[in-house]
Amino acid sequence: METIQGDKLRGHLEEMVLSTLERGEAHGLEILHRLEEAGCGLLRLKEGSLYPALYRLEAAGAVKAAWESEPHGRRGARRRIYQLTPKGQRRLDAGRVEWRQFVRVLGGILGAPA
Amino acid sequence: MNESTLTRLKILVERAVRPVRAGTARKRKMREELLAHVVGVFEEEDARLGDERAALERTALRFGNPAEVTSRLQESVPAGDRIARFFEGRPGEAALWVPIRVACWASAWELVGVCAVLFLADWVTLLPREAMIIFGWVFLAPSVYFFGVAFLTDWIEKGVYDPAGVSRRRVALSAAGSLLFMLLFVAGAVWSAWPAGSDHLGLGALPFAGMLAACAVGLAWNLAHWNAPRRRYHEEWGRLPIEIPS
Repeated sequence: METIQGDKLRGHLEEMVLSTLERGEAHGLEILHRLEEAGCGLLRLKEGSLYPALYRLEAAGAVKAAWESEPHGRRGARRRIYQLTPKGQRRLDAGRVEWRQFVRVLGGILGAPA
Repeated sequence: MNESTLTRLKILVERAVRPVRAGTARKRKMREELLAHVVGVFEEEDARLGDERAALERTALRFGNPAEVTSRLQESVPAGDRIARFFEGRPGEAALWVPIRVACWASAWELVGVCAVLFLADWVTLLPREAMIIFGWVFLAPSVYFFGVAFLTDWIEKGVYDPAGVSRRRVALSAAGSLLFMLLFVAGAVWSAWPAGSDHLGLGALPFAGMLAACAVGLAWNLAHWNAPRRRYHEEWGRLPIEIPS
């Protein structure tokens, strides 16, 4: 099966990130690993694009982040640990409802019901 | 990981972050977080491939096109960040520009305020000359004060944080200069009462000027102290060559 990447992912990345944070707090690289695991290795994200999505979610109040207390051996660079907020949970729940409708409608049109 | 590899990872991050138009604090957050990410990715790839050069190439591939990342980062910068950028100034510039910008902004608003109060209320013809002068001075005083703080900040920054080391003479001159400036400042505020009020000048103005001088030195010191690590940080990242070799 072909990998899913680029334009097909745009517009859904933020909800996917919120979904991974539902499992618990994580830093950016861990979020990517969870996405890869959940996507069974078929997702190809440009990793640099994850952080702008996280910053938009943080500005919208859907996630909150805190710096870890020390770099843990990484040369002078600390990670930020992200957590889902109640507002983010509501946005995720709304996103899931919207996605199910999207899949149902498009599935009906394409003749590929969910 | 050696220093050369870390520098190459920093260059990868800086290619994406430097073109972003955002305040210093926001860009610093981007740099540190992206650097932590690419260091983590490099360590994963190095452990998998066993070859640093190949791991660096895979890290760059996984990170994505820097121009695309720049564009996405720019979209994530809120519109309100412009205010922070205005007061913070350009990366690496001297601390004195912060109070100068504040002084210019305060002056512009004071001018609008004075004109609005005087002309809308039609007070121009009603107030005596001395009252007009005092009124104008009260409104202009914060701007004059901040301009003085600006130059004081520059002297203190150069005296304390110069790469050549601390210059006590310069710091002492800055403090003395501040006291003299504040004395002139206070004298300017009460000149219309001279010579009749000259007794009051000695009793009240000197301690008041001393207090203003102490506040100015404290404010300038904190500004210089705030700016020094900021300038070093910008110099460190600004030196990185981000142009992609052809």
